Amino acid sequence: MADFSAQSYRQPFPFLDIDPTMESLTQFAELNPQSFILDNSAFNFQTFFPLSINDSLFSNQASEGETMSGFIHNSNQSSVSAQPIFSAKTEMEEISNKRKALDISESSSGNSSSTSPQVSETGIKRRNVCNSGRGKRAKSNEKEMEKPKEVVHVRARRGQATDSHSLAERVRRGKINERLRCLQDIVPGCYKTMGMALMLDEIINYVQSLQNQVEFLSMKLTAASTYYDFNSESDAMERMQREKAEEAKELERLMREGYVGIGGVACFHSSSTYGPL
Amino acid sequence: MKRWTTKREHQIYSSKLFQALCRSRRTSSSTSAKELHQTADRVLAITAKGTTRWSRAILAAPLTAGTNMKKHKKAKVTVHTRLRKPVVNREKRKLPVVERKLRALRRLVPGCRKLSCNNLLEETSDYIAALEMQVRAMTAITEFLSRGEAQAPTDRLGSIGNM
Repeated sequence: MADFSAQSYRQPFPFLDIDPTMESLTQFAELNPQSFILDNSAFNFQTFFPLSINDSLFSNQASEGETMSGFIHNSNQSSVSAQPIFSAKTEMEEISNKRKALDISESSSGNSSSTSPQVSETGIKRRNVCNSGRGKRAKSNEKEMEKPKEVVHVRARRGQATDSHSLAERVRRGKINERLRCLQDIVPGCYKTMGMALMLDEIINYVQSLQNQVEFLSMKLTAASTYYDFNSESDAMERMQREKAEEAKELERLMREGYVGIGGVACFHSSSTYGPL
Repeated sequence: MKRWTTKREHQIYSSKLFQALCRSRRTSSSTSAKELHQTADRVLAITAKGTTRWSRAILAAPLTAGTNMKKHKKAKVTVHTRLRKPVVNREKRKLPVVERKLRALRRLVPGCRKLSCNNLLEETSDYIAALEMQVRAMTAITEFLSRGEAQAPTDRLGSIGNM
């Protein structure tokens, strides 16, 4: 263990000489939270140099030595202003364990922009502040902050629990509600006040009705195609385009005259979607 | 989800469907409604370009002839437990209402039997948009074919009259 850590410790060393402000290391530490469990609570990165590295950074990294050196090389490109990363081990663990699907390391190892790690750094810093003062600071009035493609940072609202389980649940519920709202726009007859169960009822009914419509239309189409002479169908496409254009014009004209509900859902939707096109 | 509403996609789908219809007509004279339904679904899945789970599921397993009715074993189990523990099970079976509906939705959307709620809702919205486009396209083709049928006999009559 000590030999391995010494080896991995030697590799980034020339790099550290080049980059004395430890910018990239902070960014790297930020990028790879799940393998980078920091024991000490408050680091000042100027004191990192070089002795404390061995204990703090690499003490738990027996298996992650290679990946870490790789990350250091990758993160060499972007420069971020050095900020102290202080994180309680529990906080990093509990958040990172929930966020394994949204792994930052995979998304930003190819991402060399400097803004996103910085924002997520400040996010973690603020989250730490929020979580460390659980009794009093939990009642901060801050909103949720979401970062596309990276870890979602949720701040506790006033009067709400701040443990990681409820935070994660709130995020999950938020995602589900967002998708439900999308579906509400698509499925007709859904009110905003509907709960999940009613919405799902409507969705199921709508999907079933659409599938029945498709089945009915396929029967109708086979019936219509039996009388059709397909061998003489040379310029079929042009004729079809013409037919469709005529149909679209017809439907628009009928809609303008207030003729609703010609053929049920199909016509209604076709007219509504052809409008803005 | 938004790609299913563009006219371009609609044209692509209907032209592909029409070509598939022509081809199947030329090869085999008898086309059942179920074959046509399957062909239409597969063309729809192809138009989806493999980004969604339901489209991949449709393309991966099209060789089922006839409806597969799987026996629902869970129904039998609940009957037995109802006899043993009447009170407790009634309460427990009432609670996962949403779960039951999600299960029904999973049965409806192809290829989504084991998806989480989140992904299932996403697949559903895409599937609904695709189905709407399929309905529109098939009505258009049916209209076209029936109009062609109405015209063709008159043409033939006209040609016969000229002879």
